[in-house]
Amino acid sequence: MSFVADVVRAARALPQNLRHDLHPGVSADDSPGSRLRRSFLYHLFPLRVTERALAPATTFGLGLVSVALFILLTVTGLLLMFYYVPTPRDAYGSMLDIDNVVTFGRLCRRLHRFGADLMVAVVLLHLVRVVAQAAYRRRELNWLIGLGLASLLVGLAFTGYLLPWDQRSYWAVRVVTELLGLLPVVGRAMQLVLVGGAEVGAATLSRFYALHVALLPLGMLGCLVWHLWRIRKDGGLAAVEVDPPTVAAWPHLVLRVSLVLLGTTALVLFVALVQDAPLAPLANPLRPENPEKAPWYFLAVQEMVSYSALTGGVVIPVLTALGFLALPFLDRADLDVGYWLGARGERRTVLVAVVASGVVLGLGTVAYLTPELGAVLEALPPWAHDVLNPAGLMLCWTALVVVGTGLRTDAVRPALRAGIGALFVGLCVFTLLGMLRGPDWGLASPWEAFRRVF
Amino acid sequence: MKKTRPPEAASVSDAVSRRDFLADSGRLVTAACLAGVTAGAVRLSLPDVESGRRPRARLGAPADFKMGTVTWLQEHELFVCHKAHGFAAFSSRCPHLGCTVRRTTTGFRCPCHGARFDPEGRVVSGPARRALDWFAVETGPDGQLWVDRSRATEPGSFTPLRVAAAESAG
Ligand code: HEM
Ligand code: FES
Repeated sequence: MSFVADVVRAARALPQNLRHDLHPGVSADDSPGSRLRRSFLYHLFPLRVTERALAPATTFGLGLVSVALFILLTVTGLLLMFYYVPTPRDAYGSMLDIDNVVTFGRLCRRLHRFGADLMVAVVLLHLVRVVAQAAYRRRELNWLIGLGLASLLVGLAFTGYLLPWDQRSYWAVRVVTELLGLLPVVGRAMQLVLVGGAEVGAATLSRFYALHVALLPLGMLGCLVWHLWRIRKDGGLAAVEVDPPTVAAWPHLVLRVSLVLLGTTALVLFVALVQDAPLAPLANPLRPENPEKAPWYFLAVQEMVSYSALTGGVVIPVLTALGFLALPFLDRADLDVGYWLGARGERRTVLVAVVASGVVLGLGTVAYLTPELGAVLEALPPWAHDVLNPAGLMLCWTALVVVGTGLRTDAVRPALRAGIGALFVGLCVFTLLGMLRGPDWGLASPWEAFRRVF
Repeated sequence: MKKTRPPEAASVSDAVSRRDFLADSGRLVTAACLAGVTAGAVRLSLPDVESGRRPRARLGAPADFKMGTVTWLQEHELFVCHKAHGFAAFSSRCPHLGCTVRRTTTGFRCPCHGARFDPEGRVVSGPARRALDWFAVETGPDGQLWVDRSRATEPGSFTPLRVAAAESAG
């Protein structure tokens, strides 16, 4: 009968044994340090962190918010995959099902859509933070990994955009793949690989689906893990102090991280509860909508492309990418690394450059849109149209700002920052203008544009 | 610090050791394999068969297109224009980035980035840098109107077709 007794004893001890056997990292008498060391999840964190790294204004938690959104997008994306059918015949119908038939389907789709929108914005701000603190200094590899993450994110946003197979997705993809063909050397091959044939169709949807649900997210997961690991390998967040005051990561860091994850989810959930995710009519390969607008984060490019496909769609994006790649290898100063915008004199220089850019680019664009100047420009030969437009102006002005600031301050960093500032101001002007575009790409009043969006 | 190594030892250490040679060979083979697989994957992704349209297509009987009209043939993405001096066909695809242009009172207009064209498809304003594509039109042995996309023509070049002229006159 000892068999029965053994079973009874094991059953009684089960709760306690489960706790001990399945969670070996934690027991009541463990010190906080050993908890961090022995639990898989927590061992992502260092044992101690600097007080400065914990201060909200150091990073605004922007990288962490991006991580939270990546998790949210992965979960909601997997759920959407249960119902989404990636063929031109069924895709749109399955979107309608998700919105109208599937229980919680609409909520899930909104979470995925708004999470993606927010992630683009937050990653951009994270990049701005890293630039404004020169936090790429002695973190060159992690800067490059970050740029890889940013390009994967753009790829995910773009491939995801096609999946609903509505009017907007279809025409956006047709225009962008056409644009890719203009890239020198590799353009035509990239276009063929993405489109999978002569026309955007079933082959394109299959390829975009594979990229969106497998290749790009896996790439992003890999880069993300690498990115986070590099932060610890680089000795934590960038800072100039030699022996800064620290606190124990448990509970200070763990608590903050949990709060950021929770807060991000709550924010997206709130937006998803009150705002509907857009879905245009079914794709019609013969008739674009009027106007056919890109999502907000591509509007600046669409606006620039409406001046010149070559300048706005190829030259400026390629030069910007090259500039960002080169950034940490051009700026080699160790001064003020980890502090917002460095010394006061430098701050003023950058501010002046940004304000001047707003004035020059704003006025230049308005002048370009007046019929008087339009008539003068129209008389010029075709190649001149590619240069003499607001996008060309932004390019030349940015170059001027970089050289001018560099000569004035005799330093590389303020010159690069002023240049990036000028570029951002220009892109903001173009985004605003893109929002005002109405039927036939004419300009509408802000009020009309607002009404169209909401 | 001064180098104290005897000359013959230096020449021995210049020679590649067996260990280094094998390790380097291993790296080289690995790199070559990876490069080969990558090249193969890229080649696989390039489609061999492009499902595009054939260059020659039948547009219909000349009498279907009334004198003085411009007809949009959706499935061909073409405008067919019939005037006193003959027939012409030009693409409804915007030469900027491929949207479909629409007819307006003054010619054509593209909704995507606002390119404008005159009634014969020449650029008036906007980001398009060339006119709508014009293609050669001919009558086939069946008496029908055909377009040949492999032969581009100048904007404004009409094909005089006697059959058509006679028919529309009568
Ligand atoms: C999917 C996108 C990204 C995620 C999830 C992410 C995540 C993070 C996190 C959690 C941190 C810790 C500090 C913080 O919260 O700010 C960080 C730091 C950093 N990130 Fe990112 N990042 C992303 C994209 C980028 C991009 C686009 C860049 C720039 C090209 C970049 C460059 C850096 C650098 C250099 C650091 C170290 C900063 C320092 O030492 O102060 N990351 N990232
Ligand atoms: S595609 Fe027609 S104007 Fe851009």
